[in-house]
Amino acid sequence: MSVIEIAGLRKSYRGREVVRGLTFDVPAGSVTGFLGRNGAGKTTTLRMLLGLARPSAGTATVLGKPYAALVDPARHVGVVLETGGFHPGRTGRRHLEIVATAARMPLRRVPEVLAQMGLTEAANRRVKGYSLGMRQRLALAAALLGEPELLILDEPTNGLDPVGIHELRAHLTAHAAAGGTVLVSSHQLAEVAQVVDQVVIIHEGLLVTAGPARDLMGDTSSVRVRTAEPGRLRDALLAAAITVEQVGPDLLMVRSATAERVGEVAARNQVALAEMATVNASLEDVFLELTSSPAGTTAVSA
Amino acid sequence: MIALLGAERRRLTSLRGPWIAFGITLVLAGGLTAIYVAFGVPAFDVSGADLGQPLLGMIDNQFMAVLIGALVVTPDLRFGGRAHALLAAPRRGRQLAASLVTAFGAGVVTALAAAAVCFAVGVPMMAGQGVDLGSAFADPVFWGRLATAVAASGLLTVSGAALGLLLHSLTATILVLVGMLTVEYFIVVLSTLPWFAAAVEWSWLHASVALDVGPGHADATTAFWAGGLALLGWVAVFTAGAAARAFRQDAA
Repeated sequence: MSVIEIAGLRKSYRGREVVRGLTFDVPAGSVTGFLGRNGAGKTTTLRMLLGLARPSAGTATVLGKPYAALVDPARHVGVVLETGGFHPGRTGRRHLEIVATAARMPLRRVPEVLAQMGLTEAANRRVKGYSLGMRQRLALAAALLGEPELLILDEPTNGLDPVGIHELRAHLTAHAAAGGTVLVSSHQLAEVAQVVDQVVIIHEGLLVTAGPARDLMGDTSSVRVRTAEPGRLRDALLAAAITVEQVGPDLLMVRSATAERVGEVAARNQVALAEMATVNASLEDVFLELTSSPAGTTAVSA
Repeated sequence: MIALLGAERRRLTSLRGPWIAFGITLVLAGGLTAIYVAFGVPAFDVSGADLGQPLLGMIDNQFMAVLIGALVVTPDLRFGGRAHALLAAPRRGRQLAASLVTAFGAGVVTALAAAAVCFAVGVPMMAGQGVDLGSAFADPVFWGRLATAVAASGLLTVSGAALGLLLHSLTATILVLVGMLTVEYFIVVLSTLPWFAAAVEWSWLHASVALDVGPGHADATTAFWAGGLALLGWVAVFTAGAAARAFRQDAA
């Protein structure tokens, strides 16, 4: 079941199309990374999903409805926007009280989420005295006020130090472990790669790929083979229609076959192997590969 | 809607700016009343509601009322808080209505507080000058004038909030306000063209003067109800602009 469904979504600003017919789903119970370079259209897409921007075409629904049609949306969807929305002259506690009041949530949730985010001591300080990490935690506290099943986070790692990123990842993992769903946008892939199980990559407003992160990285894995006879093995692999590249005096990288298949070819041709290992591409490698060329020239899968 | 009004009230009262504006309004009300009474009472050879007029003249401060209205909405526009408000309650019309109702409430509360200060300063001073205000307090017209002055403050504050939402800027709102004050009081009033002077009676800020003066005042050039309707018209114009911007544009 999908909790977020986006179909044919488009957005133009002054004649320039920044989101170009996006279509993807976010399955329930997943942590989905919404990835793209700066200016790829991630924030615009999320703002259309949340009813803050009007699509030029297409639809975006949350839990089966447009966001604006949800009854008490903050009880179902917790949102962290890139712009924190905090007036610097207001205390953290006051900010949460305003959100809780507007969303018809009990004020007793305010100290609870402040404690959950480790902000109890800073609650009565003005936000202008908060560090970037504290502001992000305050934004997450606001998102968690309604104990929502779905979290939508726009660039939540921006400006966070390694400790803050580690804490954020822990929160996302805990939310997913409790049965919740997370859609997290980021251009800093290393910081979300460890927690996402689904990936949506966009580039220049177009969908590049969407699907399970493991599949995506598996598709681009390779096999590293070390042998004293690299020439013979290369010829044997090429004869078996396997893509191979010699990357060192005794080292081959095989692109389009599993380790089992490479071993089978080597055994049949009586080539002794010194080392063989599957090398999985990182999400960052995949992302860079998929977004390095102009939009529309890379394959799209869903 | 009740929840949104509660959130707007918290939004307004949790910042220093509106409190500072509120404080300045009260200081101005008290100070100007003291000056008015000190220098004006000997000339008041009147009775009834007119005798109490020095207590009413400083309740509605046009500039401060509009400024407080703008302060209801503009601080959060600057920092993206309005988008977050829409996430909590994604009904733009209700958000707009809640902001304007809160502004009206802020204007009324400010005017009532200013009235309390004016009374606290003016009544003892007038008593010290031998003025018995009994006939003023017994005259329903006096209280009617107090009510219209409070209503003027409320409507001006709403117009300030609507103008703030339309312009999306406190600075721009203040500039428009100062521009209007300048036009109305220094250029048009000094104009020798009679139709120009008549037209200004229906202008945004001057319309509130008819409400400030209130019913049955000898110096009134426009009936208080006509001034009230004109001010309501301006509120409607600014609100329509604010609504058009809120509904047509993506939320900041």
